[in-house]
This record gives sequence, structure tokens and C-alpha cells, in this order.
Amino acid sequence: MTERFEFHKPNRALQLYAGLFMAMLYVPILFIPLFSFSDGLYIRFPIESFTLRWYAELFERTAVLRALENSVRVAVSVAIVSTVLGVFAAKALARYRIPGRGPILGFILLPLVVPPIIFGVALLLLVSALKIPLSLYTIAAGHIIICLPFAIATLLPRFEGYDAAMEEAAADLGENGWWVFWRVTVPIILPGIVASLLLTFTVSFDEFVMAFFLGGTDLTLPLYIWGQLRIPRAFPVVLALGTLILLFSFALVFIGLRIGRRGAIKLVDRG
Amino acid sequence: MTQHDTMISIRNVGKRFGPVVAVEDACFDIRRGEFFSILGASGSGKTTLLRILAGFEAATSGAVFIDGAQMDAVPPHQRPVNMVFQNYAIFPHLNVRDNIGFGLRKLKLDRAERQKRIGAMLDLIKLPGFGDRHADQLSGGQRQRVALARALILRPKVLLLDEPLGALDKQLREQMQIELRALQRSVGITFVLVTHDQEEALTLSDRIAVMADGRVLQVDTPAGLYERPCSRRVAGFVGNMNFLPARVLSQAGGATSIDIPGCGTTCSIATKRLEHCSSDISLAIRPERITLHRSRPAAPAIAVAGVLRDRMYLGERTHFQIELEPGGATVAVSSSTMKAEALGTIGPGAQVWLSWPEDALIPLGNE
Ligand SMILES: Nc1ncnc2c1ncn2[C@@H]1O[C@H](COP(=O)(O)OP(=O)(O)O)[C@@H](O)[C@H]1O
Ligand SMILES: [Mg+2]
Repeated sequence: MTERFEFHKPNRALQLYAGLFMAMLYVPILFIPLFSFSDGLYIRFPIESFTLRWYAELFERTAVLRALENSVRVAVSVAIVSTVLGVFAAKALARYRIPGRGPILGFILLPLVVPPIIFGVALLLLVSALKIPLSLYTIAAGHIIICLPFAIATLLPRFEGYDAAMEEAAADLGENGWWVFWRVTVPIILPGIVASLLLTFTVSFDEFVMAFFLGGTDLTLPLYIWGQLRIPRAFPVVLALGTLILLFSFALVFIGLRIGRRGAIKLVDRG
Repeated sequence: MTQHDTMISIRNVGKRFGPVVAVEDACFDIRRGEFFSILGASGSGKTTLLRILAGFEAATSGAVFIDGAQMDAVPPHQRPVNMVFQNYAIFPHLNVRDNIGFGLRKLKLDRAERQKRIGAMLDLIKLPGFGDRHADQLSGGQRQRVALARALILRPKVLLLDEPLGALDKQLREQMQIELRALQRSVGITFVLVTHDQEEALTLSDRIAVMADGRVLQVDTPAGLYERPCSRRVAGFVGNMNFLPARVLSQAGGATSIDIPGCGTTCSIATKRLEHCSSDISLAIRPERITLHRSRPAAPAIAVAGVLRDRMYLGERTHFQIELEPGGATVAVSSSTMKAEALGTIGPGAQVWLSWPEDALIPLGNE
């Protein structure tokens, strides 16, 4: 039997590389859930026995619950604000012939690569110069800056993915700008909006550096965890908390990506 | 024509996109209840002119009146026109019923009345029972019908159609042409259709505006364009046409004497239309106005000799290519196959004679 030439032949080396890559990425993270079920105080093999008591202890701490509540409040506000701003920015970028569109887009997406610590310090200077007290609000403001590029990057493809004639058709059928936006634009980009809400929520919920610089006495969950790390006895509880956050974030990002990629639409069927 | 008969009045309309002149000084009227077409090659400015009528583009100069009212300051959603877009722009998030009923929101109809009107439109476009289908479950032809219904349900004064049949295959296109014409007659609304397909324009329209490079070359009935084109470009664009180079010898009292060097003959034409004259002109003649003979015909004064170069059987008609002088211009002749058979079996190389009635020659200036 002669071997056929296949252009898309499976490549062993590449498969191995992909496997190693995934392992590098996720094995370290797996230690967190693993040791969150360990009965010992210290991270050490072999694990002698498994327990759920760290999880039980977690829910008895009011400080954890308060930090959780703070984080959710910040993340929800940040998700809504940055998604709304993102919708308008993406629409402008996709629909209007703006001179210098390329540089503007690059500028908007810049916060994705600028270290948060730079932004954190800069905003802290600004906030203290203006004598604004540090609080959850200042954290939220910092998070909006980080989240906006995520929102725009998620929404822009949805705007570019449908024909601008849709909006003209709606106007032609008698709707003014606001109604065109509400009856045509929003339903068509809705999957992008949902994806953006989920993604920006996750980014804000997990964010530490900005919160560290801009936070007042109210702690968000990452700040709380940071504080607990100095107390060895609290460490397993932190692992339990970390596991829950990990699960929750994965779920949100997964759902967000699924919706973002889907053909859309069925979501808003008015039938 | 009285003011009352005019539905759309386009007055010296021009449109520039930066350095590009998309429409230049367009000036014509469209009558009430008329099926009007704008015909031109791709890039000639047809869509731009249509979008100016719909209000999506602001004219750089000139003015547009619809039913007597000046439109320049009126936004698209307040104009009494509706449009069928080139790729239909069916709303992907709505089913057929909600697509068709989209424009009814402002009328604040109760549910029953709304459903009744949508049902009537579904019947009109011959898609009853399709109300619950989704946009992505429709074929090209069905999408086109939905786009039509969505626009017509608002009973606009004018329906604008941008190449509505361009995306359909040939057979469906011909069927839709017939339906479109019947639909226009039954609803009695003024249709303005943009197309690059001259056959489509000729079949459908009461009148046609021919555009090239942003300029309107001629506005006329299909027969008028076909029989009396006003320039070489129009003549070449509508149907097939032969052009014979010619020289004006003299012009006196309504008769013009013209020399046709390629044919070795001089003819005299009764015409008043040669004011623009430089002495070098073209004589245009339709292939089907030329008669083919095997020997020199006795009857007409003008008969031109030539050599048969090619013969194409096209079913009902047969086409011939005739070379007038060795290495010179060739002339296309179209004859009914029945007459062609009567000539017997002539093949390439055969000596033939051409004749035509005098009024078949259309003198045109060389632009
Ligand atoms: N939005 C625009 N921006 C710049 N140039 C345009 C725009 N729309 C049309 N044009 C130009 O105007 C000319 C006429 O275009 P169009 O009206 O679309 O022609 P047609 O519909 O006859 O093919 C073309 O040269 C085209 O490139
Ligand atoms: Mg066009």
C-alpha cells in the first residue's frame, strides 16, 4: 500500500507542543482546587486526607461575604458602564468614516497592554490631587478604564458583521435614529452585548492591582485574599475561596465566548 | 405635462464624494404612477441618485421634489418613499411577519388590523403561510418578495428598487420581471428601478433614464431609446448597434447628404437633427434593420456589397457578420431564421449584398 499525500496530515510535534502548552497553563492552577480539599494547613505532598471544612469555614466569615458583595457591586456597575460606552464607541468606529481610525483604535485598545500598575499609580495621583476619597467608586472608575477595551474588542466584530443597510432600511420604514438603534441595532448586536457584560464583569471581579491602589477601607475580594495571605492559618480558606472564584470566572468567560461566537439572534426571538 | 402628473422632480442634482463626481447635473421628471428605470453600467451613479431620492445621501447641488414638496431638508424616515435594498436588508432577528410589519409601529394599529394587513401583503407576494419563517430560511427570490412587501405595506408614493433582481438566477429573474410589472400595475405606485441590465429596463419600464459616468444621457420610452438614441453611447448601450463612419457633404432644407466611405456610397437623409455637426459623424443602424441578399437587389437605391465572415444560429434568429471591404469594418446583421433559410446555404466567404430602408440610418455625432 502506498502512502497518500495529505496536506492536512496530523502533525505529531505540533500535537505534543499543544499538549505541553495546555499543561503549563493549567496544571499550576489545578493546585488551588486540589489543596483546597486537603486537611492539612500546609501545601505539601502527599495529601493525607480530604475535607470540605475550609469551604464551611469560608461561609462563616462575614468579612468574606462583605468583600464578595463589594466585588459584585463594583463588577456589575463596571460591566454595565463599560459595555454601554463600548457600544457607542464600537458603533462609531464601525459606522462612521472617522479620519485616523487605525490610530484611534490602537489608542483605545492600549490599556490591554499597559501594565495596570502604571494606570493605578497615575489614577491614584489624579484622585489624590483632586482630593477625591478612595472608595469602591474609585476602584470602579479604574476598572472601567481596563474593561473598556475588552468591551470594544468584543462588540466591534458584531457591528462589522452586519450590513449597514439594515439600519438604513429601518430608517426608510419610518423610524428615527433612536428607534432604529433600539429596534434593529441592539437586537442584532445583543449577543455581543451579553458577551461583553460577562467578560467585563469577570475582568473587574478578579482585578487586583487597580483595586489595591484605588481602594479605600472597603475591600474587594482580591484585596481580601491578599490580606489573608499573611495569616498562615487562613491559607486553606483562601484556597477554597480561590477555587470558587476560578469556577465562577471560567463559567462566565465560557458562556460569554459561546454567546459571542454564536450566530446570535435566537436569543431575542420575538416570534 | 402638468404639475399634477409629476411625482418626482430632479432639478440639477449633483453629488461629489471628495474628488469623485458620482452624479453630475441630473435633471429630469418622473411621472405619477410610472414604472421608471435608471439604466447604466456599474459605477455610473445610479445607486447614488436613488439614495439621494431616499434621503440617505445629501445632494451636493440641486434639489429634489417629491409630489411637489422639496425634500432636501427631510430625513429618510419622513419621506413618502420606501426602498427595496440591493441585498434586501431583511432584518435577521425578525421572522417574515415582523419584517413585513416593521413599518406599522407608528400607525398604532390593533393586533387584528396589523395581522390583516400583513396577511394581505403575504398574499400579494404569493407567500401565504410564510409568516413564521425566519430570514435565514428564505431563498433569494423569497427574500426579494419580503423586501417588496415590507416596503409596499406603507403605501408609499414612490417605491425605489436598487437592482432588485440582480442577485437572482436568470430563470427566476425573468419570472420576477413579469411579477414586478404586474405588481406595479395592481398597486399603482410609482416605481423607480435601478438596473445595469438593459433588457430588464426595456421590458419593465414606461420610461428609462440612461446614465454614464454620473451623467444622464437620455430620458425616453424604451422604443424611443431603441429607435432614436441621441448619442453613440446610448445607442451602444441599448440593444446591439452597428456604427458606420460617415461624412456630411451638404445640408440643405431638411435633407442632409451623407457620404459613407466604407460602403462606397452616398445617401441623403431627411433629418433636422444635425445641428451639432462637425462633418465627421457616425451612422447607426440596428442589425435587424439590414436585409441580406445573395445578389444585387434591384429595388432599393442603396445596396452595399460585402463578404460573409460568420453565421450564428440562435434559434428564432440567425446572426451574420459581414465584412464590407477587405480588412475593413464588419457589420452585424440579424435576420429571422426563416428568412435566413430562404437565402439557402451560404457560408463564410460568400459574396452578399446588404440593403436597408432609408429611415433605418440614425446620424449621430462622434463624441
Ligand atoms: N460613499 C461613497 N464614498 C465615495 N465614493 C462613492 C460612494 N458611493 C459611491 N461612490 C462612487 O460614486 C460612483 C457612483 O457609484 P454608484 O452610485 O454606486 O454607482 P452604480 O450604482 O451605478 O454602480 C462610483 O465611482 C463610486 O465609487
Ligand atoms: Mg449600484
